[in-house]
Amino acid sequence: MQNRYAQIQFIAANYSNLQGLKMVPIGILVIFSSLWATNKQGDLSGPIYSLIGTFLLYWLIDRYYANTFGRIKQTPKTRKWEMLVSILFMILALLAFWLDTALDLPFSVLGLVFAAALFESYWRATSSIKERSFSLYPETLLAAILILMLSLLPLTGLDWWKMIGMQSQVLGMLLIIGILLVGAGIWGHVRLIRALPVEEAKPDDISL
Amino acid sequence: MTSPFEYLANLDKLIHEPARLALLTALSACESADFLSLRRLTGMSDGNLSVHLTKLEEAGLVNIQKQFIAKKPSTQLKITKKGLAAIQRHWEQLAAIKQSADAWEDDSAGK
Repeated sequence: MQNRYAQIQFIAANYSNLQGLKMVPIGILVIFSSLWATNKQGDLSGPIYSLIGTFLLYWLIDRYYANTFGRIKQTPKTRKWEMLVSILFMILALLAFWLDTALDLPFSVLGLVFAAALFESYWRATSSIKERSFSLYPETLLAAILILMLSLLPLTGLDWWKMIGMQSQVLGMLLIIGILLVGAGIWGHVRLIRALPVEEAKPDDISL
Repeated sequence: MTSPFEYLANLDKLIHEPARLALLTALSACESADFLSLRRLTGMSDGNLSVHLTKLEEAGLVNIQKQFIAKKPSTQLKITKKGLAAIQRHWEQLAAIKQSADAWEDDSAGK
């Protein structure tokens, strides 16, 4: 399949996942939560307000995408698979969070779960087209590799979270995940806009 | 072996037109899409998109549904079973043409 058509197919199949700005408020919430937990501020009003702000911002961004780029409904098979995977990784993340806080492990289980979720997301998105291409969804794969490396880094004896002023490995990992969500979200949004054509297809566009 | 020219002659001209090929390719990858998303995906103007979608609807390849979402008119497009089979067959034919053309080129170079 030609690049242009493969790209159209990829965007149509993964439209909701490519709306990167939706990840930004979630990323900010994760960053804020990790910093709040590190500074041990007893007042819970901050996290509550930021949670409300995240929902509001997410809804506004969803409206922006619907009004500017339209809506595409995924196939029932894709929706069902995404739901199953989301529930599975949510349970695994909670379990990993508990393991990381309860046990003093020389690696981050939460990071490994998050990296696995990102690898799965990359694999699922790119499997919608015949020829997998790194350039179609690079931010997810790069974020997965980075998180995987950071998760295993303490095995070498390097407590990297202390270098960035975080109290524990799990909070350090949450901070990095939050920063990556914001960065990858903005990158993904820019890539989506650039991928959408500005000119109409011309009759001689198709070459064999 | 079938020559690439024979394959080319057998292509469905209705689907092979680039704009309609793009529309069917997009619709084959999802359950449904609205008019705006298809316009953004293909870069077509409203008028052009409307003309191509009408042609595809007349051929029974897509379904066009006009409805109101939050009191606003919305046009939803969905590929039919016939359309899905047609676009899959078309991409298979294009892959066969490419393969045939490559083989033909190799044969010509060998002579």
